[in-house]
Amino acid sequence: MKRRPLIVSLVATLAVVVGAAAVVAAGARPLLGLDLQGGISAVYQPVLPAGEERPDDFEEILDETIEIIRSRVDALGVAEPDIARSGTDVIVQLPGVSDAERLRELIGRTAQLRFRPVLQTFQPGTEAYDALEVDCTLPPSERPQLAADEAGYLCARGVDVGEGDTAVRLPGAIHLVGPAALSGESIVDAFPVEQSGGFTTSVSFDAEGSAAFAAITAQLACERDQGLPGLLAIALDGVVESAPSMNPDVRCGVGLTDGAVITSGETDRDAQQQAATDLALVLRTGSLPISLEPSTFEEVSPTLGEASLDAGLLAGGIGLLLVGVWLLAFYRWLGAVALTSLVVFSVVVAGLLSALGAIGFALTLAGVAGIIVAVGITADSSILFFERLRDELALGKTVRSATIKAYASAFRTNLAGNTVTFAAAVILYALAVGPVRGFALMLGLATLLDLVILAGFTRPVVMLMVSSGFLDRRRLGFATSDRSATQEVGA
Amino acid sequence: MRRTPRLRIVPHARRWAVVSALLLLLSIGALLGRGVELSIDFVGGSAFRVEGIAADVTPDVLRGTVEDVGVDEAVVQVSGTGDERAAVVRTESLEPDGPLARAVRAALTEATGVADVQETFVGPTWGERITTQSLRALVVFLVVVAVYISVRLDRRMAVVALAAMVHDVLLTVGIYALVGFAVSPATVIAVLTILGYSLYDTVVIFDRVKENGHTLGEPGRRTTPELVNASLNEVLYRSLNTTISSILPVGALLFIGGSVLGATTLQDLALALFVGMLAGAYSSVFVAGPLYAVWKAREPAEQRRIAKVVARDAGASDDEVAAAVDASFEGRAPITTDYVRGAGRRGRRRR
Repeated sequence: MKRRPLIVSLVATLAVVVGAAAVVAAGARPLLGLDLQGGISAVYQPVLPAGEERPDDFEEILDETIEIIRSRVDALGVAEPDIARSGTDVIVQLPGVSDAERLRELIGRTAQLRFRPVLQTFQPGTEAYDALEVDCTLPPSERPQLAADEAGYLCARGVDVGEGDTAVRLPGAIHLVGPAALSGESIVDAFPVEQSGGFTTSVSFDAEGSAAFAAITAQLACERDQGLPGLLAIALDGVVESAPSMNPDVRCGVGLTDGAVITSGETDRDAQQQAATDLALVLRTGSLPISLEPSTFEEVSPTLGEASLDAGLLAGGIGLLLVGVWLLAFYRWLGAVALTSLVVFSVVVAGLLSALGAIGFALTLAGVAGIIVAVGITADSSILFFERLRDELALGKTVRSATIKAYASAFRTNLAGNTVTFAAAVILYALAVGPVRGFALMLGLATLLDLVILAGFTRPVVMLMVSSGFLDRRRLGFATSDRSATQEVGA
Repeated sequence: MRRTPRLRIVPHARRWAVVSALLLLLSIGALLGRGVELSIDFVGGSAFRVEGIAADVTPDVLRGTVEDVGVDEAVVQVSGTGDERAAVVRTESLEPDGPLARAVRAALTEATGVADVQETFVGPTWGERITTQSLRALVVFLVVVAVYISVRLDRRMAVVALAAMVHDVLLTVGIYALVGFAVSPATVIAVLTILGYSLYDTVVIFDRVKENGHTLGEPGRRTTPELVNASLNEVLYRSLNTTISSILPVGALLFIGGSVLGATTLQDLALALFVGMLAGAYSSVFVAGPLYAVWKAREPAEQRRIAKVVARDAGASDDEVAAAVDASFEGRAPITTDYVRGAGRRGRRRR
């Protein structure tokens, strides 16, 4: 039993504990799940228009749809809306929101793609642009909506400048557009094409769409010949994604009769490819409007959330206290060590939760339950060790050799048991949905933490107490003389 | 110093088998008789929650109100008292904030005077999905655990551990049927935790049996049943203390969580854990241990060992011992059976 390695591992563990305490003291708090802070939590599933089959690029289209919904939900002004995808499920978490009606309106609506002729374009920074009473900094769903047969102003997608934290979205141009010439439902397919000159987006229409597209391009070609802009705005959900001009080949009065090839204004090859792919996705999303239908929907009032959290914390605290009292009464000095290891566990868990909160993991009610269950697991590793120590001492071994043997055996058993619990946690996390995952994560972390605390805290503390001679047979509950060793000292 | 207990757990295997059988019959009876109520998370449906309702708003009033709006069947639960009186109205699946759901909300607000109605909705296919997913997780878990225990310990131990686990889960679900709690995803979490706990407890005990394996043949542990019994006694205090340490926080959760307004998830979870942990502690000592011992004792090699021990106890000569061993191996009674068995029993009592 060398003291130095024991002291090193104890100091390392205590450093982690101090670190965790510092994280909490610095004001970091666990991110609370909606069941603990109140809000709306819902799971939606994508539904294709009747009669449509799931296409190959369904995943991309779904992502684009979620992107559109995200920008709509941003308009709600929620502190931290969380819209995530899990498989094909769309999980929407809105803390502090209780406006179910608004949410339904935002999420239930499918994205609309419309082709509109551009009557006039206003570039940002010009006087005419500033004079318009159109605010392109508003989220799309806050801007006035244009019906298909209405003319009006639409904002182009903003331009992102910079990267990471310094990224800024500059407002795009404003287009005065006419009534919609055709909608996304007429699109049969759209895909990026590589040509000798670079990348373009090819789009084809159904019969009705072809006629409408030919008509609008014919009209725009004439406007171009007259010196008017002659642009065709492609607007998805009220945002002009692209506004291509008519190529000189497109003749006035004839137009494009057999689909179209859209070339972006990019000169760089990579940027061209990106632009062509993005536009194809916009067109595909518009041609296949996925609607989201609710699978689950739950509103929790902030008061209920708070009550649940308080109940969980109170129960955890009282439980910890009772376990502490029991261990102290039963194991005396060793009980004090076990109690301290539980405190270490609590502090590290608090720090861990705060750190997890920073990366977006929210603590849910099920997670709280997982932690409370973990209290028992942590207490058990100490109990295994101490019981084994008593067994070894009862065989007449010295305190020192009994401790070494007992630890080795207890750690092995604890490892076997924790492996089973950890396997349960991993499998639950991987295969289950919703609240079960939060529970599984906490349970899995706790079993790992339990092994670390047993090896890095309980072991060095007990062994140092033994090697310093403080923890002798008497303090371990064994009388020193052999005769009384067989008598009950009481537990 | 307290001594290692000397309970005769394995020799009384029959007694524990009867206790377990009775408990299991009770559980299965409750399950078949009353069935378990599944929460809307499994069957799909809507629930509307109003908090802070007056004492004169009875469940019947609320049910009438909601059914008048056009809902086929509403189930109303009222909990809490005073300011914390709350009601949950469960209906069939109503699209969140759809026309009917909105009508229900309006009707509830009118009937109770509470403006904030909280809505919960679970689509009909969702419940099916989480049920399948839970079951799949369960099957994978069981396979992994069975393989792990087989490799780490022994194939028989794996089978026995799983049997003890089934025992615990049946008891827990039986209690749910008796108490009339609805089975929710929280219950599923709890049941899966119980599986983990039950197996953990059993693994700890079997680990000790395996570790003690080299002492087989020493006084007091000459046959496997004796060895298992001794090992069980050695880990008895550990089982007791661990169970107490695990149950105390869960008990706190059960009583505090239950008294707090609407913390039903916590209560659900706590009840299942409470029952499951007790069952797990009992079954690992009194079901898994004896079951393994009895099974192992049926092996030819073990029967030879037992025959040898019994014969030696009776003070038989080496030849007689060999005869007894051969006889047990061939599966027929040796000539000296009666005499040997009687003496063997006396011999054991002397210890």
